[in-house]
Amino acid sequence: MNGPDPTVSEADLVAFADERLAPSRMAEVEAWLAGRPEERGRVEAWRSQTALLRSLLDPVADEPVPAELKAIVTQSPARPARRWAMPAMAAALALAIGLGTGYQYGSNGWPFPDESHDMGEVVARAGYTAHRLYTAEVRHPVEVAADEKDHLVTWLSRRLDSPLKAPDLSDKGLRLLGGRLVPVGTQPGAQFMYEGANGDRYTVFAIRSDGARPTAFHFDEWGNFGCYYWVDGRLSYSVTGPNDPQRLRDVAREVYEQVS
Amino acid sequence: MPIDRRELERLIPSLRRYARGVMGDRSNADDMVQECLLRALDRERQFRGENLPGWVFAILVNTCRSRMRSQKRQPPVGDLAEVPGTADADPAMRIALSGALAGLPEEQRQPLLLTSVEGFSYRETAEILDIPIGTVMSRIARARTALAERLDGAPVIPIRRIK
Repeated sequence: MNGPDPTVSEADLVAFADERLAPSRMAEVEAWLAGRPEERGRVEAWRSQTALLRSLLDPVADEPVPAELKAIVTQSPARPARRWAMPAMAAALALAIGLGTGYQYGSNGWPFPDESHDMGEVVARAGYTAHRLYTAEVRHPVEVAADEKDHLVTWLSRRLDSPLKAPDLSDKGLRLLGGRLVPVGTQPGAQFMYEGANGDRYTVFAIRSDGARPTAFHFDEWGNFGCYYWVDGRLSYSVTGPNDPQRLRDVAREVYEQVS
Repeated sequence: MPIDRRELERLIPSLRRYARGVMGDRSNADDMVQECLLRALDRERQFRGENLPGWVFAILVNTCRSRMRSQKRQPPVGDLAEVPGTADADPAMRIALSGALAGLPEEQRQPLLLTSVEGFSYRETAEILDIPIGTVMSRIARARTALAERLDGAPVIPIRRIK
């Protein structure tokens, strides 16, 4: 029995090694291999590979699942998160920077158009708007500077009626510049601003979101800016910065770990 | 239709295992799993309720694929060998195997891992990768032949089935 045998293909051999042929076909291939020690050896080697691959990778599946991965699933509401449409964003931006003339979004004032508002979207949008507005300021980026950090945190915590923290992002190469109170509709929002060695600015934004369902990390982007946001029950957060998703995620995770 | 959160949660260990095999290092792999979970939940409405593992793995495959393309990288050789080993695994063999796996083209590594490690059928693998089943078979055959060549001469240990 020499030479190629059209009755047994390479695909048959793969399936034979994986033991995925129908029993009758398994027997046929087995018989075919009986007279071909070289082919038999290949198939045996393939079987060893499978065992080796499993022994290499199975320990990963046995590791405890990282909490942040688990939280994405367990904290996700059953309703899928919506990404807001560009026109709504443009309208929100126009309003926020004062170009909206008499336009009313919703019955009880932007950015809470109705009872079913998505807090994640609200904090992302408000955080982004405030980021664009204030990071562009050279001389007055913040209302209270970092040298009065304790006062800043106490003041904003009192205004939001919820204990806040100004995350320490020095491990990420970012130093606190300070912060400010920002109106979000009729509610107070807190912004903390950070700056990296190359002048890149990041802001952490928090608003109250009593009763909102906690959500996972979400990402959105607007051109040169990106934003991670999440709802943490009593407070909702967004972290906005230059649109380098990996760097931003890194920073946002650090914020998440410190505030949650 | 809505995804069963508990079923999705139960998939995380295998998603991590697969991503680790494809990406090599832990932090990249877990990033891919995170992206995959977020995308799956975002696209929940597109889920038609048939095969959740297949549907989620298809998302993970694409997430890994686009990351690999944007980084133009192969997994770092040896990183996988740092997975906390099982007691009876020969470290030299682990290094040889992870190096050999990392050296495979991504298009071969994916079907090999989906079938041999994750246990998907050839048909499911074809659907996940969105390629014909014959292509799945030929890529697996090439992957296996290449792995055998790379491992030939590597330290040989008696194979004991772990699971």
